Amino acid sequence: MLIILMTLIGENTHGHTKQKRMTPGVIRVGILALLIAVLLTVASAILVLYSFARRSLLYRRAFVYETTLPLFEKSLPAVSAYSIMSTLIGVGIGMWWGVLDETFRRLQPFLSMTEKPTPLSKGAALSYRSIYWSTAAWRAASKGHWILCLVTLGTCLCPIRTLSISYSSVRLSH
Amino acid sequence: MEIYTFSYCFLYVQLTFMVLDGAKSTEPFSRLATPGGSPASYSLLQRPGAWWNALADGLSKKKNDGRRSWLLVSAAVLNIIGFLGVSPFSSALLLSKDVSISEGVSFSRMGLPDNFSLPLRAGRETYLRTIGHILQNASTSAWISDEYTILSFWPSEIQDAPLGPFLSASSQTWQAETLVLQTTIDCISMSLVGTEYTNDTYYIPLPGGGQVGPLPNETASITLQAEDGCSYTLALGKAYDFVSQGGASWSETSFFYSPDEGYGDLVGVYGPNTSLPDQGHVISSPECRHRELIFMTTPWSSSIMPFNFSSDLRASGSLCTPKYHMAQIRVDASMTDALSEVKFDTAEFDQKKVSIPDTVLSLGDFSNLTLNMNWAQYFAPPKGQTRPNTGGLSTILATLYDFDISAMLDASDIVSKAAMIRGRFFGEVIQYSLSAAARPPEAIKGQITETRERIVVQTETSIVLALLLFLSFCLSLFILRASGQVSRPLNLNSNPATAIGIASLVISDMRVKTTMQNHGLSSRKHLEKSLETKRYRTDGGVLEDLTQSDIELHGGSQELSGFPC
Repeated sequence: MLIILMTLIGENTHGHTKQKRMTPGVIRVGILALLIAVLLTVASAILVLYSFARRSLLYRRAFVYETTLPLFEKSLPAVSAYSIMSTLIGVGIGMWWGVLDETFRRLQPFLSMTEKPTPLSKGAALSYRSIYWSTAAWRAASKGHWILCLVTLGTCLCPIRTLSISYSSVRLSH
Repeated sequence: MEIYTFSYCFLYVQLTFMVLDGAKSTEPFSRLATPGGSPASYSLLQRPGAWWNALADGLSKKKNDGRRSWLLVSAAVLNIIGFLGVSPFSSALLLSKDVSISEGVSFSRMGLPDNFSLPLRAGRETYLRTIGHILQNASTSAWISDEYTILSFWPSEIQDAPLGPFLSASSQTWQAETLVLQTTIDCISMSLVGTEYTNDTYYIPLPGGGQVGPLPNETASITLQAEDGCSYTLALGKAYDFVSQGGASWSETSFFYSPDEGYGDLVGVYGPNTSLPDQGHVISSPECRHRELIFMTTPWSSSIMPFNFSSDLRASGSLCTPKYHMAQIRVDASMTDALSEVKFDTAEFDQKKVSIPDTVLSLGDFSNLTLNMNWAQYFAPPKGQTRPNTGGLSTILATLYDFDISAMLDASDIVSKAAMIRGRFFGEVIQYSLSAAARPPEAIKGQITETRERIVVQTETSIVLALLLFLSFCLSLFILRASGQVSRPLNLNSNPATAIGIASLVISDMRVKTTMQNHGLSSRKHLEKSLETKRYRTDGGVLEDLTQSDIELHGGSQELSGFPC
């Protein structure tokens, strides 16, 4: 969550120097706000379900109710519907974040050059193109590009989050 | 466990993705590095795309100047195998299953004494357990069955011998060699051959001389005979209940057991030496050889005064010889928390069995216990005059037929039922005698088979996975070789992903520099249209324009965002 907020703040301070037409869609303010909203919704849904589970308020009926798929004429237990949905959400957010991460990495040297005159090592001769994940986070931190560092840290945590979302739905059903 | 395979898989797919990414981003430069260069739309305006774009581009001859780019294809296939093949198969690779695991452990076993014959005794509990099982099907021990008794064995870590019906609470199977004892009876039938009624008097001699009498002696007798010459005659005073009600007796051929008249629990034994004539006696011929006789009869007469043998008097007997065998064979004891079963191969037993000698077990003791007239002390027969009289072990036998003598006479399985009673009693006696002997158990080697949960690898999945990974390995070797500086020159002096790198590439050739300056901020469509006829090439770190046509002039800036980085 913190990562998103900082990203948004960082974007707002640097975003005005870009021409609107050329801004990649994924880092426009509206889209970022949508991503924040989605993440907040998912997080609050998990928290609510967790608190229900702790107070033993989760009724089995909600989870074992069978839904019928109209096309296939087969009944599907709700558990697998929940786990499919939650995995899809997790994977969707992961892919979204991946595009965000790639855009940030691509644009970061130009961003830093646009702000103020930067030495070669932090601007013109820098490329995050082929470094990923924790290496990118380390490199970004060492060069002082904190927003990029946070974004790439988020990418590191993405698969963990995907796994935990899909597993939490399975665990909740037991 | 799926988390581990999932994370390793994920890392592997990411690595293949990095390889593909590198191949995709350097592909335009390798196209530019060929001697003939490459059209603008396939090099300058080439976007990396996704894995399907990479696959299509690699296979397209048009984009690669007449050849296929096998490096790009291999990198794409490597990535595809990773996420489409390795990922799903590896998540299905490990499975947690219940498998049976056998291990050899040391067992303790109850054994017969080596140097003396085990005396066979019975306690109160022995009778209780035998009668309880026969009458109410109470399970007493898993080691005792109707015909066989197995000397128990158990894993040495268990301190007390498990002799009850449940051997252990966990699901296991024990296997070891132990002694199995069998007891059976061979019977021949005896049939009624004659009846007799004597009516005379007798005198009792007094100790001091003289005599008492005359006393009346009215005795009825019946005679049974078997095929091998054994003949058994029972003579009883006509007033006895047995004469008017019938009954059964299980005794040795020289005797007849019956509850005594008028004394309830006392048992009367009528043998050859009974003193008073009207108390009854038994005469058996030498051919009988002191075997066991199970004898039953319907009421002898319906009226006492005068005495007449009734016309539908039926009587028969089974003359039985007990047989004891033993064999040391492998026995399996399988148990769950609900049921325990002890089994062995009866065919193997029949092959290996030997007759039990008297040096091992005092079988005479057991016969005495079976032919004991005191069974009535442990199981009271019905009150006199309500049911037929039964003496000795025949009381237990009669309960199985609800004391219906005609049914017993008609039943074809009377001998097998008798064998069952005997066998059960034998098992209980053996267990009691062994416990009473209190010998330390012998140590032997046996096997325990348990079902435990283990992680198993599925064979088919692992074969497919191994093949896929081997294929990936070969592909990555090819990629390694094909992406070297020699086989795939890029003609670059610095990293083209950096701003400086790209700038140094375009700065030298005048025409390239002019084109870039003019088309700086144009939309992609505009760029495509204006550059569609141009061809470019890199040489020594310099981008050269190979086309001869004029450059169209467009307004632009230094912005470099249209480049394929």
